[in-house]
Amino acid sequence: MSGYRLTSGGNVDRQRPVRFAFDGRPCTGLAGDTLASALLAEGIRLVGRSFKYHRPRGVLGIAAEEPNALVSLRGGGRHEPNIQATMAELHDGLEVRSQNAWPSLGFDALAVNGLAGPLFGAGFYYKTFMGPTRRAWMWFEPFIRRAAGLGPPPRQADPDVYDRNNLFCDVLVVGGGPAGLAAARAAAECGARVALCDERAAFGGSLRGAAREIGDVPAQDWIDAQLAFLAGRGAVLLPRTGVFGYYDGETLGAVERVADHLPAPSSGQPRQRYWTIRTAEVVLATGAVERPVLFAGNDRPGVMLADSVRQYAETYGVACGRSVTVLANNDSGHAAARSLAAAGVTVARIFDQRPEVGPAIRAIAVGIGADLRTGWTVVATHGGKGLHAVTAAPADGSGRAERFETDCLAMAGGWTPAIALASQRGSAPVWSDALGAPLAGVPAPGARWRVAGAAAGRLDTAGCLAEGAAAGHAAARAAGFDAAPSAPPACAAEPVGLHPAPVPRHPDGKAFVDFQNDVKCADVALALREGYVSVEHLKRYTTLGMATDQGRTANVNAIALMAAATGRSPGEVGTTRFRAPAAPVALGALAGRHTGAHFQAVRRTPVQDWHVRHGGVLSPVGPWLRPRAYLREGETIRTAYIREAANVRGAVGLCDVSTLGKIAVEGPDAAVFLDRVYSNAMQSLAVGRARYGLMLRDDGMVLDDGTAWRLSETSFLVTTTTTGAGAVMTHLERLHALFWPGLRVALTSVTSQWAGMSLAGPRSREVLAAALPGTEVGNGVLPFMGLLEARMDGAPVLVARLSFSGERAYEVFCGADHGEAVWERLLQAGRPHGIMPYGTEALGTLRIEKGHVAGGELDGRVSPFNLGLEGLLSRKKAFFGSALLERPGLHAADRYELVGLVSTAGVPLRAGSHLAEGPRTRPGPSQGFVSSTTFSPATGQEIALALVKGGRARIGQDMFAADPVHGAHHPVRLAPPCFVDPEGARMRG
Amino acid sequence: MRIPCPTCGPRDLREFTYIGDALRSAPALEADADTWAAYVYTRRNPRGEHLEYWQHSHGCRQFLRVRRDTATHVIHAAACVGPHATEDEA
Amino acid sequence: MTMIERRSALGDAAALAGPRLQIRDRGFAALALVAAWPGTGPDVAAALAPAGLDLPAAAGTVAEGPGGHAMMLAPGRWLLELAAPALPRLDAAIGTVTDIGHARCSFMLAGEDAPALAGKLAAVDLSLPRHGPGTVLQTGSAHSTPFTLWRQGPDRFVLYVERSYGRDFLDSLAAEAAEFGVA
Repeated sequence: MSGYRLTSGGNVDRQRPVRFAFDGRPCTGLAGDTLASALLAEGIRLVGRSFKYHRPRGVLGIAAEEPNALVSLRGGGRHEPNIQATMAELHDGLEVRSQNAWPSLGFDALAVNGLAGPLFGAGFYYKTFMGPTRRAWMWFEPFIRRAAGLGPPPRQADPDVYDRNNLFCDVLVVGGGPAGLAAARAAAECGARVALCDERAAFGGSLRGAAREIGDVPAQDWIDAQLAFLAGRGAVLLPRTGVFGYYDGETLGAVERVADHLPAPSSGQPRQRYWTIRTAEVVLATGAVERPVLFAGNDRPGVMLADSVRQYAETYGVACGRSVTVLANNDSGHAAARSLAAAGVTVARIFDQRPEVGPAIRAIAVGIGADLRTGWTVVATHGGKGLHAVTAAPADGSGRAERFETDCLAMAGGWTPAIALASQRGSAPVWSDALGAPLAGVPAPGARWRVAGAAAGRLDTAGCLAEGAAAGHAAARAAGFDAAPSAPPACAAEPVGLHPAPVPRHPDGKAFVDFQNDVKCADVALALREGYVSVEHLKRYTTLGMATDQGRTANVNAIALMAAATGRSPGEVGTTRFRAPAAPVALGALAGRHTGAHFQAVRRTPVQDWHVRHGGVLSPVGPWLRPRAYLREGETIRTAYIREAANVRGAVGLCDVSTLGKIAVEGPDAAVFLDRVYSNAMQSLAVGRARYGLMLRDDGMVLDDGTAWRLSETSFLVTTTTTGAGAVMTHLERLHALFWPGLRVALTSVTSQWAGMSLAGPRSREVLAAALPGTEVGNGVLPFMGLLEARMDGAPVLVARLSFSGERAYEVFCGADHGEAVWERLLQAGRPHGIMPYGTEALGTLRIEKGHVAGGELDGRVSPFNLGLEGLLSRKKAFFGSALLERPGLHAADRYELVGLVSTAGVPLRAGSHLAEGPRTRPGPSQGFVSSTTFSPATGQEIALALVKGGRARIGQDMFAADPVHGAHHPVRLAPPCFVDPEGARMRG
Repeated sequence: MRIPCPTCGPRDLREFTYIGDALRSAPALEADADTWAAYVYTRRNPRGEHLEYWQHSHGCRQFLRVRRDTATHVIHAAACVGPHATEDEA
Repeated sequence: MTMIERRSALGDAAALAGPRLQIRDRGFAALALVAAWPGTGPDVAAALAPAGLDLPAAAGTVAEGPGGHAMMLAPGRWLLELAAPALPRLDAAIGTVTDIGHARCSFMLAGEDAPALAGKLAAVDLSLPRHGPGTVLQTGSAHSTPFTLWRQGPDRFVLYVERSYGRDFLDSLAAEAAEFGVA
């Protein structure tokens, strides 16, 4: 094998090469590689440029903790930036682009930032662009944006589909390493429904490909056996699935990368799937992340985490260098060195920062032929675009520095348990001096999780297996499953001497703490000098821990630095709170299918198809689609609605009002109930009659207006406005349940049961008679506010003589499935009378001309006294809302009152304009606002309804409708809020 | 958060509508303005155990009285109120 | 006189199929909501028995009789799907019957993949011990569309959704079912 691929070992298939391109350069990897392992195998160490200083960077780690190797994948609408090369799976044809370098990764002109380093310290933006230079920020901003950043965003629409699904289980295990596999197995053996997630491509965690035995079988075989057992027990196995959020009620969010490891999703296959997992118990086996060591130049390509170097060899068969140097402050560095040597990688030397190590550890170095120096540390690294040497010296300064040729420095700086999910669920982390890192603490009240394995600070495999099994058993038992699981397998012990060395005082030079946001040890010191001593302030001031890797390799080193510098213990310094998402989540995954036309559910009326076929311009009204107008050849919306409205007053029109809320109120106490709910009398409503009614909130403000139809002694049909339907239904249900549960009344939403159409105009009676031959519809049988039940060609119809338009009008209701046929029958009957359909614009025009209030006026801030509806307030009974109606503020002389407006200059007005007494330059305080506007065909004027302070007394006065946002200031005259037939003769005759 | 509806079982928060705190009792329509003002506007808003009404709007549409800890979101009990009230555990 | 045409909310061809999944618009003869007053449940059951309806007493269960199926949605509340297009009547003193025959679209989901599809729509644990055949539940989709789900068999579900949402819901079903090979 060429490059850095070992001749054997790893879960890769040397018979299946995979071709990909990196910045246009053709490369070859193997099936089973991640992008990072393939790049390393090819000897490509320079993978990106750092965020601020544009320093050359390479792969640091093995999985989701990777801060440096961020790349952009795919092109066109599928382009995705900031993908960690360690998490991206290799597939044929993968096109990879590095980020944040121009013109090329090798020659990055923006690396000059590095020279001006001292100027770009923490708080650079805040300090530089203040005072007289504040406006300069907007001039500098485009340059800074280009110079500092991650990958470019895609510029085309995403063609992929994202799915959502639900998963229910008894025990969820997060993390499929040794502890997680043991936990899942134990829980499944107890009979619990188990789900197991791991964010990497395959289960096994740090054991994958490891050259060791678990219970007498090779580690990989043991892993496979656990998975087969779990599958046999019906457990849900979710690899490639990262749990990003842990919420109340043991609800978790996870994203499964369904097709990211394929060139493209197959037809119908989603790219990613957002799982909402609801479980009884959780086992967090999320592992631990290795820490870097702090020294100058610790960020060069070739400086990596020691256990990651081991996994590249054991899991992927890749040597990260021809001659590796290990720098450790604990035993695991030595364990890694031993495994590397066994895998065929040359480990030349081991520096251990501790002054002394035990004989078993010494024996490791001897056994692999490595030069061991205790009490030593690295003080500098060499090699701009790839490490080729390090300078090391005794840590206490007691000897001379020496230079060593090496192309890979493996840092073993200690282990940080991954506790983000436990912290999200509300537990405060607890510092462990032994580990030099925080542990998860105890679950918050009601939380049902337990931690196992490295996430709980156990760093030996035997311990992880035992703890995992115990946690799985405990979880199953807590979920109500009592069977006893089998004992976990035995395995050989490993050295686990923790004792991480104390973090040295701030190393000089470019010693990095947070690699992704380019935060140095010196920046932490600077922040402290400037007074940012709280860990929350340190984070925001330096941006440490705020990058896409969320400080996985940075936070704990920073806490230790802070503690040492301020003379506190790390526990006193504390940690910042973890919040979801734990790792970046594509917005598409959260949106699922609810994008574009599917953003929200669409409701359609029974006559929908007819509107579409006949030029209806559909527009959303809440969740409904309603036709604004029916455009004829050459018409605009405006000319169409003027024609339609004029035709209603001149002849007859038909409007689809099926969207009105309708509620069946039935039972022996239905009349009593409605009498309490409406402000006007309802018990006195006769059978076969309808009545307009006002419903108030508990504070006396108007909730909704509508009508009530009495169909029998015990049966009413209540109508509401379209957008108020849901609120009114909840209001009635609440009043029944919480105030008067003893009333025998049933409330049923029947909005979709009935199609409704308004037949309005002076010829409406003739049309109705023609559509209902043989049925008497004259004024005697069907007077104003009367009801009639009839049949139209066998279909039952309910007709109410109600008028929203002010013309003689009938609301014709029928079963929704008959809706389109009844609509067509009415149009057919109306043809000789000049009938035209009319839409929501004309509907609005007609009611504004009549001063009938609707959505624009009923904004939740008006009482009946603002709308001139005092006449609807019964004086004979208490009703819901009546108690607070006498409050003086609602009766003040200068309260808002409903008036009409005429635009005296003939200019259309805009709803939301304010009423002002003065001219544009000195308008004076607002006197009110315009609520609804229209052109009035009946009067030939631009008119409006408005709520004006003390409006009724000011009718006749001239004012201005002020709309400074649109630069408008139009003269208006206040008028009575009814422009057509104020006595109402046209609708009652 | 999941609320245990006595009729439907535990369901996601998004199936419910918050109705108001249940630490106050519904006045009679004829009660005076001060009584109603106290009902409409005054809240104790405790940190800790709280009695409140929720409607299971995307489920059985019944009203629940729920005993919930406002600091930890732990729900201790939920009972149906209204004409077909369940046993008063909340 | 000709009967006026009755048109479904879903237009024509409201059927989708995959290798292990069938989705179709199923009609019904009549649909009604029944309400009892506190304590009158047994009276309502007695009054409906002559119509061949067996009223269950436990919320969430479905009972079948010659007159149709009765599903208890909540205390004192039942959904009736009737075998014939005639509605029973109740004396107001014991309860009410409200016609919702035009207010619902009804879908059948059947096949091996039906439980998986239902699980995508409903954020409710649909495992057989919890929601087996003969159970009914009410919930809402991720789109906030309320629906009623009746499990007829291990691989067979009937859904009711409000008529005005019908076409939108069918579109959602088709999209969610794409991964099961439904064209």
